[in-house]
Amino acid sequence: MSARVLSQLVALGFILLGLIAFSMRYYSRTEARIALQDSLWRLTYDIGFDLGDPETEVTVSLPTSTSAAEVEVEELSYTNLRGEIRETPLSKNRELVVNTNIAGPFNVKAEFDIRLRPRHSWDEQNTFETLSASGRTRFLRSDETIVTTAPNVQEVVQTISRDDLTDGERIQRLFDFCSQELKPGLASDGYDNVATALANHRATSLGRARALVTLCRADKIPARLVVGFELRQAENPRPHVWVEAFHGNLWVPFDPTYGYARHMPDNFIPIRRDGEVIVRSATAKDLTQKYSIMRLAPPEKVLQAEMRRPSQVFDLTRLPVEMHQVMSLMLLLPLGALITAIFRNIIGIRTLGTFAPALLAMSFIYAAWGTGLVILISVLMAGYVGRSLLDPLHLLMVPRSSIVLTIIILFVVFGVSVIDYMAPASGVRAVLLPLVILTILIERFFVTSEEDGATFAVQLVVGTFVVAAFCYLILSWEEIGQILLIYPELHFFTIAAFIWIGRYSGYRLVELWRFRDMVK
Amino acid sequence: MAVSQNRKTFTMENDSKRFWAWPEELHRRGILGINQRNVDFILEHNPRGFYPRVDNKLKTKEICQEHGIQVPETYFVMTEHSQCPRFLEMIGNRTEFVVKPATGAAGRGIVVVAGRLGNNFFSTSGRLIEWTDLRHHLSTILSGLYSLGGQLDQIIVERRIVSHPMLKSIAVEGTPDIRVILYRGVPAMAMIRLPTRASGGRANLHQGAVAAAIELNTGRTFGGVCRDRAITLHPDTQHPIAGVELPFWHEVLEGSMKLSDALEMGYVGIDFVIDADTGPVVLEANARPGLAIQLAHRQGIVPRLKYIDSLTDLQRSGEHRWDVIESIATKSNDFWRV
Repeated sequence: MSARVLSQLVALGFILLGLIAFSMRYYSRTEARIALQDSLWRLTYDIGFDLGDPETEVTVSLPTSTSAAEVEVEELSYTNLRGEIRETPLSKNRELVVNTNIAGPFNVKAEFDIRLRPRHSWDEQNTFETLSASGRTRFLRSDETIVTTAPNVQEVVQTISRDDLTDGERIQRLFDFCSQELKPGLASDGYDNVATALANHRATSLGRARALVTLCRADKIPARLVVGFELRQAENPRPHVWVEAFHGNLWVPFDPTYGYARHMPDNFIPIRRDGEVIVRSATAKDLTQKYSIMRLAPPEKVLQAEMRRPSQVFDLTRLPVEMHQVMSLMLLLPLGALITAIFRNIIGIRTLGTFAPALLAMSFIYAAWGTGLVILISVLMAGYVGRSLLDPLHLLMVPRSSIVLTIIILFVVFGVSVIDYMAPASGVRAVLLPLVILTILIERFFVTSEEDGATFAVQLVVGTFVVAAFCYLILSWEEIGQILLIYPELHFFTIAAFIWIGRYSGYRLVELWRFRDMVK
Repeated sequence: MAVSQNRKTFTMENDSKRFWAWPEELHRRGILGINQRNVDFILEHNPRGFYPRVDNKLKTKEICQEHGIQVPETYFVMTEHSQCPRFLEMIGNRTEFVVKPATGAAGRGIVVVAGRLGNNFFSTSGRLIEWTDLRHHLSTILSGLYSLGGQLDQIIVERRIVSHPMLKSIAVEGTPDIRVILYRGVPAMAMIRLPTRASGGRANLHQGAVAAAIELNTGRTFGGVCRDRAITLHPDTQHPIAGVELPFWHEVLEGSMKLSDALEMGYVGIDFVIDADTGPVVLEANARPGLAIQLAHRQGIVPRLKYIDSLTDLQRSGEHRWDVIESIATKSNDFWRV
């Protein structure tokens, strides 16, 4: 097999390896995150009633899954009763309808395990719907508790709503009125009733919801009540009622009690739309409803995730946070090398030393680059001057370079001291400069300018700084370091890129300029 | 003054308004780029293990001597710092000699001594080199400053080659050298590098030396390049650099083929100088020969390499190669178009 084909295969192998490793880690991380962030709630119904008349039916509304809440387990128990689950055509509610021919007290119990998924919060909470003409009529009509024809309803609508307003603006004004203008009132004082509430500007929670639906309908905006629960630990929670108005092909939620508009928090789960009670019956007596909501613990394997096991060595985020910076810096170095390779082999810019630019750039990452640059330039100048002064002494190479190293170290140390004296709070951190590399750079620059001329040496210096600047741009991108720390296997792609650059036999960019005379 | 002359030459030659060539255009002209040279020719044909044969001039010299190829006579070799003080003793009363690092590249670290007054030496351009300077230089070489990897080096002290008088007309100062590039044992291209004032007497193209292409069959110069631009006149003397017929051309080619066979390198550049007395001598061999030779030829090398690839092993060996050389040199330009 030729080297060319083999390299392609190896590169593709690395890409594949990278993809596999990356997706494995991605999915396991997502899974762990979901498992920890998801919450599992148990909602229980305990409903009792007394049936005298054999024809009596009792209807219990059941929760349905939404984009944020999924009903995972549903257990219904109704001894000695006939039960049937139905879906209402217009509002798509699920309902358990029970009846029997025997008279006596009965009991319906239900248990739902509901999983809340916060990650779905950006999803559309509602799906687009069309409202048929009959549906429209239904949600505009006047009901028992929603009397749109009452005189003070019309009055409020006329004060608030105007013809030149959009539907959205009108809903907002009506919502503002119901949530802000109405003061709290007690059910015992009749403030559940819309007419009373509007007359005295006081309302209960239910009264507000009814008022909003009534005003919307009176203003020709289809609207309905929604009853549901807020999922939170509660021994005996009361169902909460809010409103949905039909606007822009969506049923848009509004909660005049809590002030939520257009989007309900994920932990509000609707039980029944177009209604204000969960259990209803025309003739059943002694209806009792008892609900409870309980938070269930996450599965054990999720809680035991940090248990010591060998596969943890692949998880670098588990290391102490102080080590993260160093680790991600190390993980960034191959990217610096990648940039160097691109500049050398594809663009054709020459530098002093192969990895010097990347190392220089790295030393700037956690320092303020302005101060760093000043220090670097003065260090280079000091080193160069020192090297020139040493030249007549005819010293051997290693001791000579060591003197240059000592000079630049002294320079850096006192430079830092000077900066600290001038601006004590600046927190100088440029001392991370790769001093040995700088020493070698100075020596190389000196020799190159002697041997190949100053122009060429300066070209190399400029090339070094250009490449270092590009390395800095990429390496200082903090998110990249973070991502690499989490997904170090991304370097399989880096290796593949190196293989491709290593087999790149096309022209370098500078050669297009160098050989321009050949195409006259 | 030299500068203004240079400028005049450049403007005269380079009326091209182009600032770059498209890759497609270069490819069609068969230009070898540095990446392709490395990937397709050097990595493919030069076994890593044989590199010391070319990187270490002592080894190259040994190989040349084994195969009866002329090299500059070695006076002595220095390997230890402790030998430096004894240099004067070892050099005796020689007044002309060359000091070079065994593993230096691109002529770095080479000192040519052309004259001597007691312990004061003089370079070809007449610059004074005091004994202390020379001694420091010797220890610098031994420390490995010029060696390819920076490791400890050796010093070769050898005879100074005096260039053949025929080349004096086109060389300003220093010694012109001839570079032959051989591919699979067959000379593919050749050029002569002429030192200029700008290059400080060194035949180093990076520093502004001039190169002229050489017709493989006749040894006659043509084309020309300086600092990567096409030229026809020597920037210092304004002499045409084309049309010079090089002496001992047959011997140069013969030596290059012999050495290439001995080195067992598939893609190699061999540098000669033509000594006034003894004819061509090998200075060094290079496993990574540069690309400017194409500019000197105004022609890409890739078609020639492909042509050599297309030959049979028999055609690429022994005396058959003379036919190949003849045929490479006499092919029309159209033949080389990709």
